[in-house]
Amino acid sequence: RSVWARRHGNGAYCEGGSLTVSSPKGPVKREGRKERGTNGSFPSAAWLRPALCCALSPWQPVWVDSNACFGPGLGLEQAHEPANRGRFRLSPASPAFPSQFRFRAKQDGGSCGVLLLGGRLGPAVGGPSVPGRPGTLPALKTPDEGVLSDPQQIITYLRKQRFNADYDLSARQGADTLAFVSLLQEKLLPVLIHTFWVDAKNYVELTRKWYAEAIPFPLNFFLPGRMQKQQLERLQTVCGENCLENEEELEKELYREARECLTLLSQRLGQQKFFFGDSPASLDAVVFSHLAPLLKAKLPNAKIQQHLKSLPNLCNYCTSILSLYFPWDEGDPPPPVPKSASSDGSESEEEPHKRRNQVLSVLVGLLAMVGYALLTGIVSVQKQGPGTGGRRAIALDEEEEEEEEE
Amino acid sequence: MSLVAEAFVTQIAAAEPWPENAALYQPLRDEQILLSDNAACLAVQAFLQMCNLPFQVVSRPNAEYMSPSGKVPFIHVGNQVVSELGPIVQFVKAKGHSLSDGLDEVQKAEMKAYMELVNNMLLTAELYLQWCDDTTVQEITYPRYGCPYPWPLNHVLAYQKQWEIRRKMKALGWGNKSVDQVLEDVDQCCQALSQRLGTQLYFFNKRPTELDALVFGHIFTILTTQLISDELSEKVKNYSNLIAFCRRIEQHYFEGLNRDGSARLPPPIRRKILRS
Repeated sequence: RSVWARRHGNGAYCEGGSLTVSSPKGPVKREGRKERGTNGSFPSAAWLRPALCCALSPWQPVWVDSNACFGPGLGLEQAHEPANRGRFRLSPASPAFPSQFRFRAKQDGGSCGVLLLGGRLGPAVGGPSVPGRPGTLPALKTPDEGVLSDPQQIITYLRKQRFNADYDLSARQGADTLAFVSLLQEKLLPVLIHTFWVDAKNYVELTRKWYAEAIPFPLNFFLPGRMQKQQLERLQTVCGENCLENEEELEKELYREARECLTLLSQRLGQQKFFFGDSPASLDAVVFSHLAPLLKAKLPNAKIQQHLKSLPNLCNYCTSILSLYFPWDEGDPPPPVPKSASSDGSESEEEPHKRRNQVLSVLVGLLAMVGYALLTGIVSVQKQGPGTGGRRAIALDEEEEEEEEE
Repeated sequence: MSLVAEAFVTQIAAAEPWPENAALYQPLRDEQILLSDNAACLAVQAFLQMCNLPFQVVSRPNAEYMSPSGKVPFIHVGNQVVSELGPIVQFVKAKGHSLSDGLDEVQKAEMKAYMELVNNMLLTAELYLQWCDDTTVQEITYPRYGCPYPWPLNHVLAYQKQWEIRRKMKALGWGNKSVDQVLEDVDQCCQALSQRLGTQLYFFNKRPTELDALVFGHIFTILTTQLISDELSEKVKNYSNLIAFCRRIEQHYFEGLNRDGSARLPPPIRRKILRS
């Protein structure tokens, strides 16, 4: 916790279960909120679960790492400290990251990269409120540009807000970043999809179970299947129309390319701490986001995982990023994010349809009670006119008598 | 290329030397070939030239359907047929010719990464422009793609192809992009390539690699192909070292080699862009 508090911006400190947030108006004490979606038993890597279970599960508000910095090592909180400002080249006028950002994330590679890159974005919210493209994750709710749900868009947006992990890179390193991101997308992403969604054993024993646990009752029966279908289509369009017909060959081909890609990455990384020396950049976020799920998920069929594990420098690389930027890894739910005093009014945004849901449930309850009362005849409806009302009542009585006679 | 075929190829290929009568098949140059196909064909031609391997270029209207992977170009060497640049590089390597042997591991990794960058961005952008931009589709792609076929068939095949490419674009997340965004991506990619090339002769110093062949294929094709508007080539023209790089490869590997059939470049009118 202390690690987190230290790394956290805006002068927030954890004290037991509650938080003290210092704001311009003075300290505000606030109870830590308990996050849903992070308490399950699976998997061991706690960060992975929220990332996974909020993927395509817009019904459940999930904690998403918000503290991992924009590019590891470029902690926003550090950047906000005057002493470090020059170093990270955030201009003094750079606004603190607005706390009303909402962030959701998804399990597959690219999106997790954004998760890492996302800066301190505040807690995640449930999805039904996302207009436009429901179920597309990750999504970033911004005050000025609406909801952004494409990783590239989010990164571009963050760059515009002057959150960039690549300031220190030379132009050539920037070019390398682009090239290696392409390499990952072309070679490793198909295998990620295949490993989690197409491989029958993994899908049945891991992925489906995983999602089914996270999604509420009636939906958990058909949503994972639908998601699998989507992923299959995605793989099909990437690898060609008929690739799924000859599954064995496809698998061999995909895994051969992925192994080659992993080996290339390992060679490129060498003994360095990050891809461009000692300080991390956005490429590290992207690579990590592709590798970590492969390394940490408990896959029943772990072909590619074994290859990854045979490359010790990549494993160490993942582990060190995990411990540096996801310190609550070992099943410890991430600490709540403090909210600045100014965001008080946004409490209702937290659960977008809270009030609506309350009203709806009261209405449904009332309706049920009234319906029951009417049906069983505890209450009978009488019209205004005394004559008709009387007749009606009599009619009801007669019916009851008839029933009794029967 | 399938793995079985590949294993077979690598075994057999090593045994036989490169024959004199190797042939590279591609669609009809002047009437049919499209931007992206031309780039791929030129890349393979450049690669074979760099390896100093003799070959004939054969134009066939149905090259796409002759190819084992459904993509052009493909080469016919001895009694084997191999398509697309990646497998061809491997095949040629099995024959004992390789351009990237001199590189160390890190450079090899970078070379692969940059090749993916070109495929990922330039190739996708070319496909996008020729199949998803409505004016280009109507005025260039449909007539050219359908030209070898009789009336109903040319439309059917072109629609089929367009549908396929559009689905692919959707899967890649390019479905909702505007032309400007695509050009922006091209610019980004060219900038990266230009940065990487710097003032060097080739991407990895003095000797060309398959990356050079691939980049040459795409950049040269973009520069010398007339589209509806010049936006695409304008983007590339901003990077003078890439243009100089293309000119260098053209002079070194293609000039004076225009004897029958072998490596043919666009007619001089189209090439003047490079000279200016």
